[in-house]
Amino acid sequence: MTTALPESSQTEIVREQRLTRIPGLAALRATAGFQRGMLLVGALLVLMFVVIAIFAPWIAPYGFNQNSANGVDFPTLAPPSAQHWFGTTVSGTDVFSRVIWGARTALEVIVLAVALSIVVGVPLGLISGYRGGWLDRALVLITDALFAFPTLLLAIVISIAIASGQSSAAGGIVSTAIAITVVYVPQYFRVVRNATVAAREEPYVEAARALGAPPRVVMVRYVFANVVQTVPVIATLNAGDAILTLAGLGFLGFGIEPSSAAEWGYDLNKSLSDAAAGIWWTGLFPGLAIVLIVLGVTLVGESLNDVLNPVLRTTKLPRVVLPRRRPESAASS
Amino acid sequence: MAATTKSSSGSLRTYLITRLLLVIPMIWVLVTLVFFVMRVIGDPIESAFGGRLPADQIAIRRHNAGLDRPLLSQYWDYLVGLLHGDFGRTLTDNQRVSSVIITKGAATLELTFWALIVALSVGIPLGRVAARYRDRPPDVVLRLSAILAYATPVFFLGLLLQLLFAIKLGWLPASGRASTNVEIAIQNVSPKTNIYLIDAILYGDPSYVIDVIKHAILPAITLGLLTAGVFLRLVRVNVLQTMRSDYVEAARARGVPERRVMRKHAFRNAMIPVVTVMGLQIAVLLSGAVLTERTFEWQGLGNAIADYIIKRDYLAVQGIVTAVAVVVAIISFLIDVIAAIIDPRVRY
Amino acid sequence: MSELRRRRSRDDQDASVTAIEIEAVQTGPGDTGDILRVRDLRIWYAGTKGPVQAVDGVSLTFRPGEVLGLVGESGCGKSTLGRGLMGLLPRGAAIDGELVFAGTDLLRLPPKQREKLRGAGMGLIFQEPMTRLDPLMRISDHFTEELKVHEPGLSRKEARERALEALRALGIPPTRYRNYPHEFSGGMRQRIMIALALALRPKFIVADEPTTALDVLVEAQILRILADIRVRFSAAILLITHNLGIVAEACDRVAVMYAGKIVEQGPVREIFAEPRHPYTQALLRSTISLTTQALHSIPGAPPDLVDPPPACRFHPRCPHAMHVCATRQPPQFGESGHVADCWLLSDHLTVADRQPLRRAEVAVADEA
Repeated sequence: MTTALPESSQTEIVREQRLTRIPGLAALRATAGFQRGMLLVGALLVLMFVVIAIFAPWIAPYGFNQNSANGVDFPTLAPPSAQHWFGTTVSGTDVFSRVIWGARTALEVIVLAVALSIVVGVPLGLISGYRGGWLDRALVLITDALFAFPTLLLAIVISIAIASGQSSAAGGIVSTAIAITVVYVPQYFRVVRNATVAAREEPYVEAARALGAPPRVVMVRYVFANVVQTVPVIATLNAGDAILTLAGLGFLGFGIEPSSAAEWGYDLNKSLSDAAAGIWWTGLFPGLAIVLIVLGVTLVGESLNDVLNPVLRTTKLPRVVLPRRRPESAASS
Repeated sequence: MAATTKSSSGSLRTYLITRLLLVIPMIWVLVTLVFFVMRVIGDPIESAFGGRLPADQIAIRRHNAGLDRPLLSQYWDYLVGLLHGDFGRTLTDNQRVSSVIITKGAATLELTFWALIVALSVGIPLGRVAARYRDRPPDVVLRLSAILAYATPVFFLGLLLQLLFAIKLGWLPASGRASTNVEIAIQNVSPKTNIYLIDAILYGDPSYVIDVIKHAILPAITLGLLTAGVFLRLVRVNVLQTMRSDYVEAARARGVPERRVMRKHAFRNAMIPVVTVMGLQIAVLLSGAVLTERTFEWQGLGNAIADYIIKRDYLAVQGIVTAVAVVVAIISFLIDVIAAIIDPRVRY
Repeated sequence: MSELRRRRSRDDQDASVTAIEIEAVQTGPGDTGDILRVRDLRIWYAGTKGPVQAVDGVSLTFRPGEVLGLVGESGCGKSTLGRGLMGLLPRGAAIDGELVFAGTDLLRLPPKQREKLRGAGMGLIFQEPMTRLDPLMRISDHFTEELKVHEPGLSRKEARERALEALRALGIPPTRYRNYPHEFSGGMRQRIMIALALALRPKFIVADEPTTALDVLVEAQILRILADIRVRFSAAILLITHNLGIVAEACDRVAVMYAGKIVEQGPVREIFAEPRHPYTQALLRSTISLTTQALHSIPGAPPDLVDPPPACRFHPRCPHAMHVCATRQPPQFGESGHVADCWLLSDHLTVADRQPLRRAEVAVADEA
């Protein structure tokens, strides 16, 4: 019976062990069926969206406010055709281009908003959860109040406030992103804070403190590492909600200025009056774009959530078939 | 059921009083936030009328609205006014904000109510079905549908429904709460609730009642389906969890039939977190209501607030948003009450 | 044999009272009086790396008024066996063998009939009482549910009386009948669970580590109650435990389980006085008493039930392991009262068979 393994298989084993040490990866490989499908489709949609957004200037045939080319005006409210794949709007702009440019706008705003939310919400949640005391109680009260409030109304109020503060920044990408950030910071704060409070009571944290580790080290090394696992899930689910809020703001007219960028919600607002005349292409395509990207992001978030929650995780277990009994292995009675 | 023991009802009362007391700081925080945020916007009178009225007129209006007094005393007056039910007056059409809230609010209430009915009657049963057929085709289809419902913006769904049912098929009206003649007629009903269904019934003409219902169908479905998806997934997750619980296994060991185990044990326990989330969903419904009202020209509070913002009537906006904050806090309290009634453990 | 498909019958509406429709099945000769006969039972359930052979050829007999203790380490399959006897198997598990309860072949019974037996003919007492009662239902609701399910003709008053009687027998006063589960302590909850299990006077009761989660004072009470049950109702009890002290105190017979197989069984006194299987000997040696001088443990770890050791499953850890132990499964030796599955008890082994297993082989098997 040999005990030494050949070199190559040893390194293979080590690599296998290292991979499984990445949290969740082992669980991910064990997923099956619907969950894996969800994850793949979602990831694909998100990837497509990001690529389109980044390469918009090269993909979109026209500018988002462009209503003529080579001196010739585009037809207004024209149905989809070879020159205008998705048709044109009432002001003669190309719907296809507006959808592409809208992707870019959405990506910019959402990335900015999510990044800001994380940068503000996560450390705040960590400190508040770890320190406790009156600061924690005050923050929890404020964020609970904000959390219960309708997000869209809050975003409207904040974006007006920002806009009126500096009228030049009104309707800009940054100010809209900030409005969305303010609305969603409570969510990040809440989840991180609760996870921190729970982690703080864990025996290993107590042990670290008993050994004399300073609070900051304890927070960063032990608590943070565990808490941070929850952030990607919230971020993905949150991104979807944020896109819907952005579109909602645009729909109501409080989002991005139409002259500064293309935005899907705004287009949908304009398409309402088109609908009465039976014109469907000005609203259908921007709407579908929103649905697809939110769908993609939500699928990714949902499957991440399922994977990390053992109750929901589906692992493929083959049906058990009992082999026929062999005479020598049967116990006599 | 027979009366509860003395200790249970006593602690229920204490619990409710505690929760009620906690609601007050929440309202105060929201109200304060709204006030100061609106002040950041700057002078509401200036925003509304700047450039359209001579400076001395503006000064007079500012004085009448009390805006030239120190900020803190304005804040105090504002709080005192709220306690008396005075939410201020609108700038642009000079109404009492509280009356706007009541009349338009009833419309939003009606819409939200129907949407909630749709959401609950679609989402909860389907969530149970999804849990029952876990990972099999019905579950997959239902989950995908729920996620799709969530991903679809309310106004897009509204648009599609309008295009299909109102424009293409002509079965249902595309906008409004009722046909014009109906609307005018039921204004004269007494007592007037401004909830059109009730008013139409009080008026007595069945065709009017049907008219009101027809107008409510598309908006209710639009707003309701989105939330139905959330409930579906929530019920599914919670039922899956309760199905694996110890007391469910124990019930099976006692020979309780599977269907009854699912219904009485797994499902009822799963509903507890659902009730809590329902409270949060009210906020989502209110956000959605603003968008739905815009899409269907439903003259409710959401539509009103959007109009006031466009007109820059920030005092009106402040009043309405404050009212919404109060409503949200009260609903959150009511949800706690319901949770305490359903789950006896909560009272301790 | 795969899981029996659920049959959508309309049995619910049938007014079958206590009478259970029993399919007459051929049973073997000479087993009048046995409540439950288990022969060569196999229960394998689905695991990520392959089927887990949790119960692999177990034979036991249960007689009325007798308590059979089932001991073994964690993960030896005792809980699976207990659940399997009740018919509560996880998804994707397979079961075969012979399982005859009062003359009925349970494995061939349709699921609806099996369900009727649970609670009425066979009862199960769980390990962890804190979470076993529905938090939203009062104790009274638990009882009325169980009684109505099994005896639909019972009136409300009768059901209430039966429930109060069962509770009274276990020391729960009627004033607490309408309380919720969270208003009781752990010990009281366990007593309520037992009352629920007894309410329908089952003939066979599985008690799966009923006292593990409770303190010793409550444990003593529960054991007294179990002793009482067997006398009063002449029920057969399967007491699953890892605690040999409980076995000595509360059981008439004991079966020792290792890696999915019963390695030794017999009257408690005989097994304790004269353990024949090396595993039983090691178990007894490792218990602690007031006279203990040194700690003994069994080297190695319990085997992986997905890929158990060939032939005798204990051979990797057995101090007396012989060559034959790793090649052929030992048959049963001993008289019908006290039996053990071990080659050491055989008179018909060759010299080659009796060669002790090399330590090196044992060590490698250890790491496997």
